[in-house]
Amino acid sequence: MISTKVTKIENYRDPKSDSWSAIKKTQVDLAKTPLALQPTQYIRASWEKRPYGETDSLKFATVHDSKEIAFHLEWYVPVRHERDAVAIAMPITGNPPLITMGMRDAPIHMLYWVEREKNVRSTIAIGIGTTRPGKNVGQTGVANWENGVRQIVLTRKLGQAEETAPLVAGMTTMFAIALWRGANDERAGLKAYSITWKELQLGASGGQND
Amino acid sequence: MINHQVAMVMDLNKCLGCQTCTVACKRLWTRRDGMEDMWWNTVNTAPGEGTPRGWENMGGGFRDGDAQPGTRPTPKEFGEALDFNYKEVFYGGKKHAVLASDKPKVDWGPNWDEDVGSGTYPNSYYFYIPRICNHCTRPACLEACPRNAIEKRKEDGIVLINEESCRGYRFCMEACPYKKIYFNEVAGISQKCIFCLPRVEKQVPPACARQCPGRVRFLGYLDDEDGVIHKLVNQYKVALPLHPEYGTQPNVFYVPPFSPPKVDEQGRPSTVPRIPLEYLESLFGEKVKGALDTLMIEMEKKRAGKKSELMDLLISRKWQDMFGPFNKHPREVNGQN
Repeated sequence: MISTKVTKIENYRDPKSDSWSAIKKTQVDLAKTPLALQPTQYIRASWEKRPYGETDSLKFATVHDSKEIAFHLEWYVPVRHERDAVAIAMPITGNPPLITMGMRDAPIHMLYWVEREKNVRSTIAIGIGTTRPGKNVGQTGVANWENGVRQIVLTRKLGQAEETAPLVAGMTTMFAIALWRGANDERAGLKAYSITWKELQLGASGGQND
Repeated sequence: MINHQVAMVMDLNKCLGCQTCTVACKRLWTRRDGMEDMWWNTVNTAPGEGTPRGWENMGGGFRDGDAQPGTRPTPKEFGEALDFNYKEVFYGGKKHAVLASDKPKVDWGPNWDEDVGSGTYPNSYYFYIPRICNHCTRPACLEACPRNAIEKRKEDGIVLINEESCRGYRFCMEACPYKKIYFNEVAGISQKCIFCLPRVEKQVPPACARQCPGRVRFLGYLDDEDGVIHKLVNQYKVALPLHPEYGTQPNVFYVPPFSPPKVDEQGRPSTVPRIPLEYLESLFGEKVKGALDTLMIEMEKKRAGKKSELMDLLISRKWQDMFGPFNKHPREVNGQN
């Protein structure tokens, strides 16, 4: 997947902006996280017979302007809920195991948005249940829900720093997505996720006339 | 493994249902934003629906050692906080102003069914059950948390939620079979009774115990064989856990209530207690009868002028005798002696 280089990220902060119509959207398939990997017996017992993580895909697009990157996510969620949430994960280095949300010495960096909170969180994880606040990367989020379609644009500054997933124009990295349906009481490891890391290439030169 | 376990015994024969414990706790711990409807200490009438409403049917805990699914009480089931027009009534200069809440229709609260009880006149009955977090030996809340945000302290067995680690997932609320964990919507975290840890660390008893006018509550370490808790729980076996079948091994114990005998239509007493034994067994398990028998025997001893260590313990002539090592006054530890 390519993050197209654009002139101004400002034109892309609104998920409903016409600017996004010119950007290619790619379908990302999702699957529910395995029940066996839920970290406590209580969660496994409680959700053994309950469906979760049933959002099977979302549409993904991304642009950057060499200073900031914007991710456009769109999925179907019939009932809007204040605990609807989504996260974009990226490795800080190497190829950390996604299914365990990273591991010691192989952390992952996430942008986490949940409707009930004003601000997008920057978080770090080194395994299941280890999420903690990460560095401020100038993260923002603008969300919209209309007729069952949730659209959101998450942004953060490009760059590389300690405990930050590096994002620099011209580089290739990886990303993954997790998605929680609030109306189904999904939280923590009860979610849909993108199963594997996807390649993300940040375009080095401008091809987009916006 | 823990080194010691603090525990509390509540003698239900002494509880007046006055809610002094509830207010002592409220004023000390749950006055911050988002805690308006939190009552870490509750006193409810039994039989009754309790707080949260119908908590005994909300699941959680363990069966045959396995975690059981539970439901999360809603704010309405806990009983939402109400604001009253005190200013208008007391200081507004309006002679006919009526005290009213901010909600037009209120049909449940944290002590809604107070004194309702059960049975039919003249054999109706009720008693009070004060409840706090049980600081269980096997805390279902701790085991349910995917973030290891709940800790059972090695020093004293007190169960605490680490507010820095908690992300407000609320699995703990579901898993606790006693439904003694609350959710702070403002802070986005779960919160509960901390057994007045800052007081206990300085040998000051928890506020609910110290403020109790009925001297209902005893404190100490369960493993202190000379202590009052050990004597009531393990030696005399008159203090029992609430709902032992929940499998969490609570560390709050109850001396079950006596009741007067049932009377017939002419008011003549029978030999049957007014509170049905089956009901008490449904709360405290099958050891209730043994506990009540022991209490009766010791009471008879005392009435006959004989010595009874158990009765002396329960009478509690001095509050300092009730709290084991936690017998200091707050002003002692604040250097105001």
